[in-house]
Amino acid sequence: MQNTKMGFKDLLIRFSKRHSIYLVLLGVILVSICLSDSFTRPANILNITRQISVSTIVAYGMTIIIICGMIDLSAGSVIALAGVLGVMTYVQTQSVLLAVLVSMLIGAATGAVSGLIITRFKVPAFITTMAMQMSARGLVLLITDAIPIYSIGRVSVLGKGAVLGIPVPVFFMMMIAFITWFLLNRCKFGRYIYAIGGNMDAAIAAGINVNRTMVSATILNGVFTGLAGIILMGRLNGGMPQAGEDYEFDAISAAVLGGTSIAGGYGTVSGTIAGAFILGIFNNILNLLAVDSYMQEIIKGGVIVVAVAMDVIQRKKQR
Amino acid sequence: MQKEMQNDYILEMRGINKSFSSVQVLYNVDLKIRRGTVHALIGENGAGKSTIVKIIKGAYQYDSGKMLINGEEVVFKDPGASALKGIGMVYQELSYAPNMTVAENFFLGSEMGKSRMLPGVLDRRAMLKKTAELLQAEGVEIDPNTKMKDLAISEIQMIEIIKVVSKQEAKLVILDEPTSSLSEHETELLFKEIRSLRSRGVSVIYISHKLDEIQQIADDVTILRDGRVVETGEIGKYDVNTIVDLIVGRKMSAVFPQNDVVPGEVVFEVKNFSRKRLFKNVCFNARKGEIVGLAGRLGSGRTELMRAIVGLDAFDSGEIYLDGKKQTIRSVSDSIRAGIAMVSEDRQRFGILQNCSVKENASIVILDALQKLLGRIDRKREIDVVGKMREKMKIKVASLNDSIRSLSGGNQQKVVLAKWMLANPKVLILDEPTRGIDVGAKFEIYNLMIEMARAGLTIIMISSELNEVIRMSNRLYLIDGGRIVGELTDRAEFSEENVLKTLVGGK
Amino acid sequence: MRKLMLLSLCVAMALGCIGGALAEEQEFDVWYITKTRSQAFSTWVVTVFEEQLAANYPNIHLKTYDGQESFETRAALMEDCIAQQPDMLILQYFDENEVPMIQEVINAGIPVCVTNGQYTSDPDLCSYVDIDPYEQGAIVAQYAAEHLPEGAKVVFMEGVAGNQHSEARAQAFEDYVFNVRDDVEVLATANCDWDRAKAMSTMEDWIQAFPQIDAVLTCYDEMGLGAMEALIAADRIEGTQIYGTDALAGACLAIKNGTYTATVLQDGNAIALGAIQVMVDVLINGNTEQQMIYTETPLITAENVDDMIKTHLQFNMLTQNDLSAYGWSAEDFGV
Repeated sequence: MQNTKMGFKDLLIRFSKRHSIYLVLLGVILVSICLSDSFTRPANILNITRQISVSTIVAYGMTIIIICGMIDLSAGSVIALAGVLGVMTYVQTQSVLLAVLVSMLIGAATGAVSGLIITRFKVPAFITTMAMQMSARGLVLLITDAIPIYSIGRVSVLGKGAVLGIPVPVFFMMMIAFITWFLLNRCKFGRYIYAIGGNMDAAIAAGINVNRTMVSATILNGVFTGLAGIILMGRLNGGMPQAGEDYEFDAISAAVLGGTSIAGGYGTVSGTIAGAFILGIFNNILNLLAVDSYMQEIIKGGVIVVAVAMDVIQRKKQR
Repeated sequence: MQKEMQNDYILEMRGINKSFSSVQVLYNVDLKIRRGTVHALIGENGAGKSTIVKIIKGAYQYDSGKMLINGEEVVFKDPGASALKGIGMVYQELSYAPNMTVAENFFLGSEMGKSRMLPGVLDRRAMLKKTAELLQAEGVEIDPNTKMKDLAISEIQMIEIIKVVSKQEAKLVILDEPTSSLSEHETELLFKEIRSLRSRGVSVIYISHKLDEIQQIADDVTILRDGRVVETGEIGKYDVNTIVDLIVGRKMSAVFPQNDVVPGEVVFEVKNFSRKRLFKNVCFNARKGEIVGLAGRLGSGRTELMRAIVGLDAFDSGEIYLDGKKQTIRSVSDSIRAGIAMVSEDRQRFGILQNCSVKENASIVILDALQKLLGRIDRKREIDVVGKMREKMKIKVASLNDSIRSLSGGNQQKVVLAKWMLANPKVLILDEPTRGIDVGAKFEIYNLMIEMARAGLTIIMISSELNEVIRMSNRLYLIDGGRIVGELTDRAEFSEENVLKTLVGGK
Repeated sequence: MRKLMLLSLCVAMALGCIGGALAEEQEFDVWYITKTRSQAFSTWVVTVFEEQLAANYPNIHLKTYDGQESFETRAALMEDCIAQQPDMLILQYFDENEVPMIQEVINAGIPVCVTNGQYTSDPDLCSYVDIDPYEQGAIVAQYAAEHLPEGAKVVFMEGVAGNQHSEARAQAFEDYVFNVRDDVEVLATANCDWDRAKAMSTMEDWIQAFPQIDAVLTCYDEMGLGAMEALIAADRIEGTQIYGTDALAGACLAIKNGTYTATVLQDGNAIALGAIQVMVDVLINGNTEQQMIYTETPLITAENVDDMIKTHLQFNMLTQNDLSAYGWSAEDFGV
């Protein structure tokens, strides 16, 4: 008897937990529709999705990493390193495919290094990835002498092209969303990630190879980040060693706004997408309304705090 | 005078019943505490002591019955309400802020303000003075400026008691296992304090396992067994042997199912297992379908030994044989592959994944086997196998997708058992399998153990409850100081006396 | 432009002579603390400085340190500098808070030369090699004022808030465009932090909000280039004017390509060479007098952009690969 009652309550918690962020998203959309006629135009909707695509691809990896109980502060620099090396590969080989592969490979390599340091030497992820952030940025500046590559040829298709009316970055954003969802919800890997983030001791006791799973997570995150890097270069139409700054914070914001628990063990892809859209729509509507830059920062900070506070309060109330 | 004393009860419980889920834990409990006496509450783990105490404190609500304080019926909705009625408690696990001073701890949560205008500005001098006064009145010489972490456990306990009695003006103080970490001398000091309380008309409910202490300090005693009061009266009426008989009960078999499985060949052998400072040259074996009990005190090395066997911890030397073949176990996945599984003593920490569903908890060790194309988990088959295990274990849960957190301790434990049984082990190690779960669930778990043994599983069971290992095991190993100090093979020899004798003798 | 090239050339030749005469006589240690290594312009100055020094003065040993756009990092570096006692410190301008710190370096007997920026609160602090940012902004602003169509609708990107250069340039746009051309309507203003990606996103949104945008005025070419990418993607580059400052290599290519209107040079080469001149004066000629060198800031448009691209090629800020995408080669620019 009691069990079924508890089960229902639990369901209620999950329901409200999942839906509070969607309610915020709905609210932001409704307010935006009221404030600007341009907002609902298909071109603008496409515009928003294209704008959030790069940081959202990073946010998927970030979601996995945070669920697993880690954090990644190196994403911005890895974007630059992987993206620029991808562009350099293109310049040498004229192959877009090879450029994408190299970017993903570089991302994977940085992820593997971070992951191994975190698991083998037990250095906190916060410190490890902060160090990686500096090293990756330093490396890309060293390689390029901080001079941008101004012509990137067909790599720009990755940022500017469209397939069947869908912008290529948006296509990648959807594809990676599906891959992430699939891995988290349908595969052993996902179960292990939630288990490790939720209760590391129990995960070890259940025979899960925790180190290997965690390194897999950082590598996967690196692959996503590398892909985001080459797409960003395509969007900017240049191999920019200075690009990508602060992208990790956009990604963390989207994930946390979307209900991913910073303590680990909980998070969803759909929540992260909702979080990314809230941030993206916010930027968009404030620009559509030509709101002053300083004012924009104030409003954005306020909304993030209010949205997360709402989420936390709701969760507490239900518990 | 005598008669008046008899009827002057500070607390009366009449016909209290209490159930958790479908399991009744208290049956018609009557309890009367006389004013200005020390009343011992004794019984085995799970007999219902802590449930009674929690009901008195208002942490639990009873299902039926009556409770009276000073002859007046009361219903406590929360512990705060009982404090207002003069009921205080000092927990076994003392709670205090280690980096704060005695005075700060004394006034934690009820700090004195400088003035009504500035309630946020602390009047530290007034609080120091008041604390010093109260300590002095009790004859305790501790500087109120001392940090809590610099005090001995006994001093901290004393301060807790004084805080409850003097500051909160409690008239009934509940002491839960107050001497468990005290030296003999410190115990003396505590008794002095208790006697002083008694002389001032304060009543004490004294919970302890130490019968000699109870004989010393208590006026009255109430003995509980399986949620029932089996005896209550003045302590002078009973000698130690009578009390033990009453605690253990004469019809013990009623609580345990009969283990009538006949074990087969030896399948599992551990040889010369050693790890520095934890255990040394441990050898033991177990047969197919046998329940082997491992009896020993907390800290005897029993848990560490088992953790090393399943690859959770390292070991220095030793060999493990299963079906005559030597096994190399370096990690838990090795031991799962070999067919050895372990249910850990600390369920919350090592057993369950709190954020996951019942299904996800149960299937976590067999995901490899459940994979199909592209690494997908075969969810149909997953629900199928977990569902079957749920039937077998009688896990009470509305849906397999419910969070494990919504389950009672007993059901959580069954999910953990289900998890390991899905891995289809040959040897199952159970470390405190019934810790912290209610009587009904315990019985179900005992039944499951026997069922599994009958199906050919070898079970190694560790328990602090001697009773449990004695009743359940086919064979007993006794462990102390990291060594096997004895083996009892004849079930006729199994008794608490024999076990304790060997354990004491082995030291 | 020619005047500028001449100046650069003179400096280079002068340096060459002095350098040749005194090269082997004495060894010097010089520190260079950058504002950051992750911004195109700061890097341009440092790169040219490093290359020219290595080529002409093997006896001057340069150590370059990255200030990482952080007051703390730069303050710590200056403390190290006092402890290590090099013969001279070259410093890229970062922010006014560090004036006392620089004073300490000078008090410790280390001559200081500040490049690309000036501490307005203490103009007599040390030697400066800089442009006049207001003057620079005014040049491109005046050009814009002359070329914006009647009743033009424009958007404006200011750059990092509080930075001396962006504020002065923004003021120049205010004075020479918005206050002079009453018919021009400013649709929206944003900071965009001198960042290409931010400028691009902001421009994408503005494209959605405003059906007509005649011109984008920016206080830095990176932002102008970001806006340009957004306009190209939205197929609205045709007929839209884009203005920026600093004549970064990317902007020069865009001007040549016809997708960018005008920029104004902040000559990283000249600043680097000017700093070398000050350094040689101090170390080799023993001239400790404070100097103030303003480099020229000529306007760059389609008319003279070829010369600028040539300079960028000569100083390796552009490569053959960058040109080939447009079907050009280095020979087209006489390199």
